[in-house]
Amino acid sequence: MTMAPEAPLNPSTRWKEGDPISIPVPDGPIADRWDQHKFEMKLVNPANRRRYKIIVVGTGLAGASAAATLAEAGYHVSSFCYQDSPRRAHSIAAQGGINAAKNYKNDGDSVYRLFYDTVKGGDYRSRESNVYRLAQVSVNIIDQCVAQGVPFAREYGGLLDNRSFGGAQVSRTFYARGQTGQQLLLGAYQALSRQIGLGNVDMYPRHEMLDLVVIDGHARGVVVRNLVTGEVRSHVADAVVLASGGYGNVFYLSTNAKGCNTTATWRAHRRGAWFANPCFTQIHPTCIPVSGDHQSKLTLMSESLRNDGRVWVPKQSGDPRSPDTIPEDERDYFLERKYPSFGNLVPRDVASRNAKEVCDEGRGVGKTGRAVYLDFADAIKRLGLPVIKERYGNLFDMYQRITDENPYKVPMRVYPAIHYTMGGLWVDYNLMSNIPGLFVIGEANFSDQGANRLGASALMQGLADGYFILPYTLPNYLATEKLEPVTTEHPQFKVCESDVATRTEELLAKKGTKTVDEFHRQMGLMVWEYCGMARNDNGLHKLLDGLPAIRADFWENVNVPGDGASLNQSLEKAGRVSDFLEMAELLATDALHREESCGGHFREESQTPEGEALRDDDRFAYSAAWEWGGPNDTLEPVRTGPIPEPVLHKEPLEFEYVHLTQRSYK
Amino acid sequence: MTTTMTARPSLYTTTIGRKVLMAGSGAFILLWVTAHMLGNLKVWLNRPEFDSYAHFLRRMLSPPFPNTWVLWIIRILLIAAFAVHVYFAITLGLRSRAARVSRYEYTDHVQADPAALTMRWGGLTLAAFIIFHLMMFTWGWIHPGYSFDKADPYHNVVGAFGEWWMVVIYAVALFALAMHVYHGFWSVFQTLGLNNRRWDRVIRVWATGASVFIFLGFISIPIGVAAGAIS
Amino acid sequence: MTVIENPLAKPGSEPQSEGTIHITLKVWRQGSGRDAGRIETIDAPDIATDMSFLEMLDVVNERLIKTGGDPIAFDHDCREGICGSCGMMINGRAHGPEQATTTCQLHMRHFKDGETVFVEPWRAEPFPVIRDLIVDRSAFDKIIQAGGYITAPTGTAPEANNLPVPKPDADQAFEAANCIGCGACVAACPNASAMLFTSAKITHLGSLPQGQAERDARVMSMVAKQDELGFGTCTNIGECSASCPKEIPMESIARMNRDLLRATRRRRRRPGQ
Repeated sequence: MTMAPEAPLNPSTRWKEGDPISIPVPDGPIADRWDQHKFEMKLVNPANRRRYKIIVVGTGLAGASAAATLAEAGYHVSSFCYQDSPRRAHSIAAQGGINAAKNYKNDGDSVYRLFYDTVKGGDYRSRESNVYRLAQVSVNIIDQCVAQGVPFAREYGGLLDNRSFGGAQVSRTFYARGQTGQQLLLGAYQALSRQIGLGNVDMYPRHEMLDLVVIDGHARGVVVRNLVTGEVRSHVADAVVLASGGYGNVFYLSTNAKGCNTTATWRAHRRGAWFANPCFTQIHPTCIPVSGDHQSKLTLMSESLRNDGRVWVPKQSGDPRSPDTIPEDERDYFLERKYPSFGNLVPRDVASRNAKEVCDEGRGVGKTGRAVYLDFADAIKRLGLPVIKERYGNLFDMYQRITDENPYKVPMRVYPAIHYTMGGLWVDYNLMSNIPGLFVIGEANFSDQGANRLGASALMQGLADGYFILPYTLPNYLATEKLEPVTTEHPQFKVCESDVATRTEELLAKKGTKTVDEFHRQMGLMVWEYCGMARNDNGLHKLLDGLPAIRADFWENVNVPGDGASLNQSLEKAGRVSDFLEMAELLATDALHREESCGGHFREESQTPEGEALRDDDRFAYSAAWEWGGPNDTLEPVRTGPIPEPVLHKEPLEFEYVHLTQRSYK
Repeated sequence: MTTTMTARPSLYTTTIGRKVLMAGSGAFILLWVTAHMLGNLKVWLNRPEFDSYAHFLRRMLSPPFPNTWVLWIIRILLIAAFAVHVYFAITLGLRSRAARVSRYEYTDHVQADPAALTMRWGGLTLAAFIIFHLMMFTWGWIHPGYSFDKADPYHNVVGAFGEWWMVVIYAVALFALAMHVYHGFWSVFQTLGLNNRRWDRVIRVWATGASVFIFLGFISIPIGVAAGAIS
Repeated sequence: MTVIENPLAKPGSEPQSEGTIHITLKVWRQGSGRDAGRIETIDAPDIATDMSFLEMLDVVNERLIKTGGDPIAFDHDCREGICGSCGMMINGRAHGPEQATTTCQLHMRHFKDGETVFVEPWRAEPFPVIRDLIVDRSAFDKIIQAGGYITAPTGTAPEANNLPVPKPDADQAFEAANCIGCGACVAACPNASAMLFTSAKITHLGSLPQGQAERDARVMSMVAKQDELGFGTCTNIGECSASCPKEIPMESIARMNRDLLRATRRRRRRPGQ
């Protein structure tokens, strides 16, 4: 392989500018838009619903709740997940909680305030109408989940408890200890199970969607692989819903589950769906640091730890002393020093970036030097051990189990890690992508989170989409479109099946010298290095030049053992990594084009004199929806060279209600 | 509203219902065993007391019932209880075996106590012992070193434990009984749904007490005879 | 050749040889459910004690692939102890030697240098082996489909705080709802019984006021389904609860028994039900 050129290519050749997006956005007072829109949408007669078949890919909060709700309404639903049971989707790992504008604490919360906080928290890169709707239905979610038996935390009086989360000034977060995601998902899973039992949902666990079938411009089905038998089969539908989660595993190490992947969304993108804002990824500042090359994933610890823990590193670079022997005046409590008013409670991105900075200066701690201390000694002195145990006992236990260190005695070591991706497939107000009939919900869409997600908002969005938005907007599509009946005999199904089979065969045929994980790790580290907590023009060009090299190497030297006719986990991984290798390039292109700092995207060239993120609303107050630059009629991988220049469609964002300001935490 | 919750099994077609039958029959047998032991302890008093107890068994509730009727009713109930207990032990046991046809290469347990793990083997041991015991003291087919006299149970007891190995057989069988009672006693509460975490320890203590009590009560007789305290 | 350095490693730091162990794996290998399986011996040197058990298997698999071998198939996903995907018998214990710990959260520091470690799949007829350490646990889904839910179609819910739930009830429901459906209870039970799994859901939903309307129907349907699926019978041994990574207590089983007795009794009284 040849050395990739050092000098960046001409940036203008990295992408093409396409037509801006103008979609019908509901108007009128923001509080009435959703109600008005619901009234205007067409309905499907209950007697006809059974005739419509809807495919839902993914069974996390969004997918399970959507599949259950659509089936309850009478539609014939087929649901697919790669896990062995729909109950295992990665929503299950969410710890913190779910926001809702119930104002149970009587502290001045309201739908409007939740809306406002979410737009502002998203650094003004989301659609106002969508976010308002999200805040509106948040209250219904809590009602729905409680009715299903989700055991939310309660006060002694028997009413629901709330806490303040992620620096919010009101207590609007509902939680079930540190397992809110699990409990919400089990609620949705149970509702889905009921529909499976009734025969309204055909459930396909251990099935992976490998292609989207678009006929006459409409999404009409998917091609899936049975992960147990290897059988590749087509499924026809009147509408396809992708609820396949985020693409955080493009960084290899993330807090995502090992199986989380971009394959469903990326292959839909290859078939014509636009991918929006892929560079908006969120980094969580308090994860357990990497312990060695064998590290397979990262474990997040609730950010509530920063309420009492103090973040510090030694002042002296490369200080070898153990933390308890470093005197107070040789410690640098860098967050408290730089942000006196917010201290350790600065937002996730600020805390993360500063941790990276001190580690880059060589002041990081631990074996790898990529960690900072999170110290509870003062809190234990102030509040006593029992209080700390009560508040954080389970987190401390988890930390000790993984690291074999006692955080009551020695400070924790933490480091930021990727844990959520705000970008995703572009959708309109109806959650429909630019391909009619293809709906995208939950983390898989480019979401209402803008450039940055507030704590406890991911669960809210997933369930809002699945329970309360899609079940209204999808029928409107069915009622307005006159779809020709198709079967899996349609030539396009054959094309897709053959593309999937070809990809599988090619992956299996190489039997090269490097394992899939080696490529995944190599790519992930590179993306993390150049497009992680901070990005700059030079690094992004390096990344854009480096990725094709890894991809070429992959298609030349990958070793996928076994065959395609049985359960083959290496093959599954290889398919996913082959998509990440292309997707990463779009992510880097998006990051390169967005020459502003914004939410989770910190562009080093765009900062204030104090080194804080600087948004550029004049140039970048839009969502960037990327169209695949190559033809949509084939899934053939890009083996050598960069991906075909993607086409940028800008969706301008207008803010009628929320006042644009620069964030400041000084 | 449609639902999938349509199955309406009658209790005794479910495995749990069958366990309830085992618990009920086991509890009845345990009550009888306890009464049996208390009666046997009379052998420690003197021959007339013991004989009067044997006499009482035959004349229980007489009048109004004719002699031995009540004894027979109890015997029939007991046989029925044994039948139920053994039948479900076998069928449920076979079911569990069928649920794990391929076995582990390496077996270990976290906490399982021997009493819980040996319910089936212990039960088989007890079944064999009961037949042996009946052959000795009811039917009089086995009487090593003494002559069996149906009318003189005291004589039979004293004669039976003249041989040391007979004491050993009884000791082993009673140990098996104690183990079975220990786990069975606790299991009755668990199976009938009367257990919870607050009562669990208490029930465990009761179970230990009951099994120790029954073991010591019964074993005192062979040892008493062997030691010459009963003659 | 583009060399991408590990940016997470401190420059100049050498791989540590201390903190590693050498173990021998005795792993169950089975091509598919139809094939006969066998124990295969795999040598595993240089295993860092910081690794999780699954990371150890990752490393072993990477070496196997590199040497033309067949990697060990095992279920895993979240790797933080909550999804319930992973699970294997390690030296005869479900999820290995540590209590209240899933396999993914078990670390190699709990093994000794030179140790031989047996790794087997969950064994139960209702959990047929798919490949190596992967079994089909869809029987659990079927038990839930039979009644492990509260019927509350979207849109029908009343205001959440209209129904106060006493905190102890909510806490009890939560404790039972902790179940991750991993199957360790069935695997560890000498009878391969699913009582702990089924009872956890019955306790979760039956502890809440929302779950009362269907409480009788739920327990009857779920018990009938678990019986139908061929799980073994509970003999109150308690290995399930002791092996449960989420420590679901035995009292859930007592509670399910009680609920079933009550449900069948009430049904006799109200035969229309």
